[in-house]
Amino acid sequence: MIVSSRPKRAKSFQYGALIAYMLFLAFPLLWMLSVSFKGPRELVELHPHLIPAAPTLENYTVALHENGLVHAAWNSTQVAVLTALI
Amino acid sequence: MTAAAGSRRLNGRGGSRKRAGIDLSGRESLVLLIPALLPVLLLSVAPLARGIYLGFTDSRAGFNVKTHFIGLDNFHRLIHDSLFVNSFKIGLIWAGAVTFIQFCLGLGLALLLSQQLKFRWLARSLALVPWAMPSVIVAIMWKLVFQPQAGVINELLYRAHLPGANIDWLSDFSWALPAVILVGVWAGMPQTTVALLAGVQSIQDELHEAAAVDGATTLQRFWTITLPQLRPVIIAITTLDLIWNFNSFGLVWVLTQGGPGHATELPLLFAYNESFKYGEFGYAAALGDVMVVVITCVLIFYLWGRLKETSR
Repeated sequence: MIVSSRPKRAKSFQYGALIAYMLFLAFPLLWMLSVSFKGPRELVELHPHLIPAAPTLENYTVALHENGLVHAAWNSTQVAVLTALI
Repeated sequence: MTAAAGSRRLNGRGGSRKRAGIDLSGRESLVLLIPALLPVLLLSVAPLARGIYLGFTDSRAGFNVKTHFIGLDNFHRLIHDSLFVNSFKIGLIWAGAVTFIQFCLGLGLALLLSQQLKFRWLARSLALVPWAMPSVIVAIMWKLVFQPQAGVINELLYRAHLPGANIDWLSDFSWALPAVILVGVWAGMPQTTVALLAGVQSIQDELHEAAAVDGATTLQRFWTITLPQLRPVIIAITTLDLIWNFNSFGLVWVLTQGGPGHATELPLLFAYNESFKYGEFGYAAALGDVMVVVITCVLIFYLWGRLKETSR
């Protein structure tokens, strides 16, 4: 990397571009995280907010207990380890 | 050279040893290769050969249906099938657009990440987030984002009072393909960024310093130093991206299943529909053959370019 004295304007442009990239790359993940904590009523509201007004762990408990997520994760682990080994 | 002579060289005292490892005759090395070759032959080459052969038959789903060799009939049918031509066109548009945008954005991010900025470690980790997610999850996540009533994009457009807050992105005939291309770019950016970042960091500083001393502006330095030095990396990652994107299936399938009226039907989605919805295995295999030929042409172009590089 060249160590030169860059003007302040170029530096702030670089930071701005970096923040824009980070928002583009990380925002959908943040949105998915936010949706995962929303109860059924908030899921379908017409103008959604990023931070749920009434966060709930209901989705996680349903996924783990009723949809067999742990079993599926165990299957995936077996496939991954065996494939990597062989 | 026998194995005994080889082990003697191995046990010799240190100092200058021209080759590491044991010297083996050609036959011995072949024998050692067989255990590794066997699974590859059984699990990769054999199914591939059978798949290519299927393209020349009229294999169909069904009980007790006999398969006949019908030569090039499938390919005749393919060329006159407007859905195939459409899927090929969509595939080329998709692969070209995603690869090009991926490259531009990835190059920008790689240049940024090679600068001395604060929180660079955080930026580099965040840039890898899309890579760590399986494509089905990426598709589900973006479906949430594109949702017409409760999705982020329409909400942001509404709050900014911009037009378009009512568009159902994934079901709109003119917006489905651009929306899907955006997701493709998002999912594939980390790979391109990492490859280009490695390339950018391998450019020697002296080149940049010499140019700066000669009075070159940042843009001039970019054009005359960065880009030419990056040329082999650019060619490599762009070719690979083209191949991967042309072969992409899971992402678009989960997003739109081929889109409103075949608007986002990539070649592999078309093949999937043909073979599993309609049970036309032979026909779908013929499409697979065509895609293999196209990809091989792209690969040959890439390898020819690399050979020219190394022989210079």
